Amino acid sequence: MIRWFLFAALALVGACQAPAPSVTRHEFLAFGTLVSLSFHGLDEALEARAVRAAMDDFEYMHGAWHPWEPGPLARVNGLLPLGGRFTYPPSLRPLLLRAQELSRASGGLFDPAIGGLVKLWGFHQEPRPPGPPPDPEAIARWLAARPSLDDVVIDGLEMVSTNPAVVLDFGGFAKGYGVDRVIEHLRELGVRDAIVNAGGDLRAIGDKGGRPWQVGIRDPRGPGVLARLAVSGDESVFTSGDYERFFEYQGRRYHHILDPRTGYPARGLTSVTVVTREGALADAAATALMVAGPEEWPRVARAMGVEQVMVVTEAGEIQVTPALAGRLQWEKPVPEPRVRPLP
Amino acid sequence: MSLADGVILVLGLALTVAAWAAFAGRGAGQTAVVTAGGEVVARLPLDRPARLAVPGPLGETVVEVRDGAVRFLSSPCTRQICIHSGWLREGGAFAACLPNRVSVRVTALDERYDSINF
Repeated sequence: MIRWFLFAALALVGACQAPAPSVTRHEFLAFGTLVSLSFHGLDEALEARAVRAAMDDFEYMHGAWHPWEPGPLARVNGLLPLGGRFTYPPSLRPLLLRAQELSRASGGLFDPAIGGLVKLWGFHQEPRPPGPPPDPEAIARWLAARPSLDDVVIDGLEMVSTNPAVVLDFGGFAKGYGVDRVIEHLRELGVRDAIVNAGGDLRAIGDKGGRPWQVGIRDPRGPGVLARLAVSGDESVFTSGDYERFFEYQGRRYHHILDPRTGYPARGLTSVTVVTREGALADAAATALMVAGPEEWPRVARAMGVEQVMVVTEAGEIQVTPALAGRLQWEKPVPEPRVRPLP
Repeated sequence: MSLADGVILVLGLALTVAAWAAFAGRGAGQTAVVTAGGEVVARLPLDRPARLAVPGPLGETVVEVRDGAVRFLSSPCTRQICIHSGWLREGGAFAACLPNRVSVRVTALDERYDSINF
């Protein structure tokens, strides 16, 4: 009898101690954020090469796509307001073309041509120096000029802007596009199972020896994890939130996701999480849906071709699309989520 | 059921509960992962007070662990963003001194998630 109980007790203990899968993790600072790589079942030599490749790629892309620091994009930003045709650095071409497609699909809610507005708000500096929000007249002037990515004509390796107010800033897109490029590079090196996480936004490929990767989606309003999502194959999970970068002035909070229609931070949603294959699409869609707000986001999600979305409203309501609803496992008590089908 | 059966039952249950408590308690332990120049330089358990001086390009950044949390205690950077990040205690919490290339992230020992999205 005692033996039986001991056996039962030990069996329970054993169940708690399932052998840890051989997941290895590497962290480094790059792209102005913390990058974390997870691998499963890689041999040491390939793992070292993969980490090096990811570090080098992020380092390169950070320099190439920075809107202000000297580099290819800063060079373009210096030439755009002159209004003449010029040859842009060819490495920017795929980034520019994909951004233009996604900007159009979003109806301009995601628009990398708002660099001038980002600068007015001071969000181009990390950290933003303390100070008031911009003068409303300056915002009105920016709105009157209405720069958009559609004002930029890309013709082969030449480009011209028909609007001198266009300043390109790929925040809200570069991270997704960059994660895609690193995943592509890892695959070319022969890595099948990996997660590339750049500052909380990630793309996961493969799995952990037949078991899916477990992704925790952080609660935008409190400590800890809101929901767990099992991902495998090839999926990106991107979240945009009003808590990521913000400042407070005279008791009001201003966050960094700017609405190109009003010139002010987007209102109504606290966070938007998008799950889809491509990181660039997930990133742009998360930004566009934040701007779209609590009523319009399903329509914009449909227009951009993303089906798996969760949003948290400023009032604390969780809304989720039918395609994602069944996949989320809540990790803390939440109010009954509202399932919102896409139109 | 005899008295002996009862004793065995209680002992068995007690052992099970004790084992569960011991292993559940382990999952609560958290670690601060400190990186410098992109490489992990230390993993500090949050239940053990510690101070760690991390060299960087600007000088020494000091990280402190106390009462289940970790913080930047001092840093040679000009803006002191890392210092103002305060105490970090939740799994996934992160702060960095970009000028001195030092970062601190809190990770749960049991690693219930492979990656955190935020």
